[in-house]
Amino acid sequence: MFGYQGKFLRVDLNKEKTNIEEIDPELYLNFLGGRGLGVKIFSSEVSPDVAPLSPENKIVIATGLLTGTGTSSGCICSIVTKSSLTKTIISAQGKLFFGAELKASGYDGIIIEGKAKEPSFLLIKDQKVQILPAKYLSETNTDQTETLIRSTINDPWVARETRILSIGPAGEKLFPLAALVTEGFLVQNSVGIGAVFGSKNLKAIVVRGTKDVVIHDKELFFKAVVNSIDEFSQSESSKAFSDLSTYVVFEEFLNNDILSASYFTQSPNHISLSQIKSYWQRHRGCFSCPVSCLKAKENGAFLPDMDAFWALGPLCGIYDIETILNAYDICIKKGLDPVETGLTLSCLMVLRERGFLEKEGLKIKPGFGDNEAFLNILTSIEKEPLLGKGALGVCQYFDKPDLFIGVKARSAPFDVQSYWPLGLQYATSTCGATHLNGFIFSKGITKTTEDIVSQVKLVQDKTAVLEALGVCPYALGSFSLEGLLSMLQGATGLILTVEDLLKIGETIYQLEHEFNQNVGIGLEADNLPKRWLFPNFQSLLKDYHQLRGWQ
Amino acid sequence: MYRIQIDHNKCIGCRYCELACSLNHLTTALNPKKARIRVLKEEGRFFPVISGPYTDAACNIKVDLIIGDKVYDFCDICRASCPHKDIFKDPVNNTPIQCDFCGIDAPGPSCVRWCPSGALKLVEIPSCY
Repeated sequence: MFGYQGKFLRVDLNKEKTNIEEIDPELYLNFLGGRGLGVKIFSSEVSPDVAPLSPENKIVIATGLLTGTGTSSGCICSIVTKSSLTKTIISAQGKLFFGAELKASGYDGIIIEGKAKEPSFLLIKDQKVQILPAKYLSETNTDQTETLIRSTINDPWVARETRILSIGPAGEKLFPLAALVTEGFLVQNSVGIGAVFGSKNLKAIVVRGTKDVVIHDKELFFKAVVNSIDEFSQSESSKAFSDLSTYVVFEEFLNNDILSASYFTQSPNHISLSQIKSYWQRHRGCFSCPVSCLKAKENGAFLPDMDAFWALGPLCGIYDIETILNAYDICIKKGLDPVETGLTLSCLMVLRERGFLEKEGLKIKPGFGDNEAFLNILTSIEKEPLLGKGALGVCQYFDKPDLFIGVKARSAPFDVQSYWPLGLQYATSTCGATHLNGFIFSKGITKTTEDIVSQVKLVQDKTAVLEALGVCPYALGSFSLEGLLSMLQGATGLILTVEDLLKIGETIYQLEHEFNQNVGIGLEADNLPKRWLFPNFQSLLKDYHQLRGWQ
Repeated sequence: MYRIQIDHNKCIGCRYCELACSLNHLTTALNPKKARIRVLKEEGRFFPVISGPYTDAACNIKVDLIIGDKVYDFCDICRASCPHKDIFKDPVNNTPIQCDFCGIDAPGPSCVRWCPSGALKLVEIPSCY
């Protein structure tokens, strides 16, 4: 047992009991950890018909096999549950330090079940696990929650090194829009999970660990990490990603009409990368990641990724960067997913423009480009349960479901009419229209048009296995799978090939697909909105299903 | 004479130095809580602090440090481990730990070797400095 702890913590909120469970080593071999193990445990324990917000739904938090070992970019922990937005299985990517701290506390993951009687938070300090009352934290913003919890810890160093995963008021109100936040940073791909936490009355998870992570071969591992850092510092593409983060494809997307404005009805006004860059004051890295692609303001507050920036900005007709950054801050504080929130408001704006809001007695009537009204709505969004339902919910409320742009109830931030690989990814992703579980930003990406089907499948499998290993998918632009193999061998003693890894990725994708199919979200849901159906979409989709062996 | 130079403006807070230190001293395991270098985070900035000697007695005065408009406790950035400060003590057996400038013969202390951002550097300066 090298590189991982071999134990999961089971927390029963109904009975307020916690239990430590050994995990079959065979499972680690077959699914590695992280998203793989999380999806395996979740799909074998939870029935597909369970309602996402019922106490029967579970949350599986699993660290990757290499999370917290010091492997380059090995910082991810996966949070697997049935999403309240898409009703599919979803696997979020918790970055920064939470995953590494969880592993250092002696557990590879947590299985949370049941529902607490009153608002609570879970405190894990090595062997000491407690479910504590959190009434005093109810309806506090995520930043306040962290400050309040930290203020109860005496030693300032320990307080700073305690890692907190929390939901905001949006999650407590059970908005499907709600997401998770850790240390002021959004947990990627967590839309719909915030409400599941809220439904369990679980406000936050607080972790501090002081245990060792034992590795297999020190010499080999030390060399492999030093090599990967050298490889990183010499590679041009990783330099570019480190400098620009996801904005590395900004100009390319802009020139190819992948970024469009005002809920996909217009071309965007001029907005340049240098304008956006002028707000970047600091580079931040996650645990053991040399890439440092997170951008922050002078005071350390994180700045939005390209998709969040675009959804809260030009898609709502807003071009004032100050307003966009303020909107992003509000989203993080309230625990909202910025992409889905931006697109929900944008959807409401298009409904107003077409005159559908007149009949209803709705008080809020935002227009495209109305900066002030936009920020006002966001500030009091917890009082608007309609908005909390997401863009599809809003469209259905006004009986105009055709206006919704997205897949499997999740909104899409990029226009894929001229970018087919991303279109196919949106259609076939297991948790709705997102690039987060099968798309890697790198320069020149829009030029790959050959063999779209196998490319998309390859990237989806790669992302799945990286999340299983606990390595951030963004790092694939900087490190190769081959480089990871030597770190895997040094840390765990496992000798695998690239083919083995891809095979595991494929298995994970297959498991997620089977779960969704049993939920009733099958192949017919792999579709794009009518407006976006490009000419050979159907044949690409058929080839893709064939390649995966789905009939 | 060699010294480790810290440029906190470059530090990205990835904690590779803590990992490298713990791997080098524990030989088979990683544990940032047992590292002899720790990164202090404050207001979005990171300050690597390298552990100094153990003192039996804690200071009997408290010193405040004003940076910008905030007041900090000077203990936070003190390098010593003392009865009042547990950060540079082994979390299991409470033994004080101190930086031993490991691996000086090439390729340098392991924290410097792993630092990807250039915040930690090994510099040679005249001994009269």
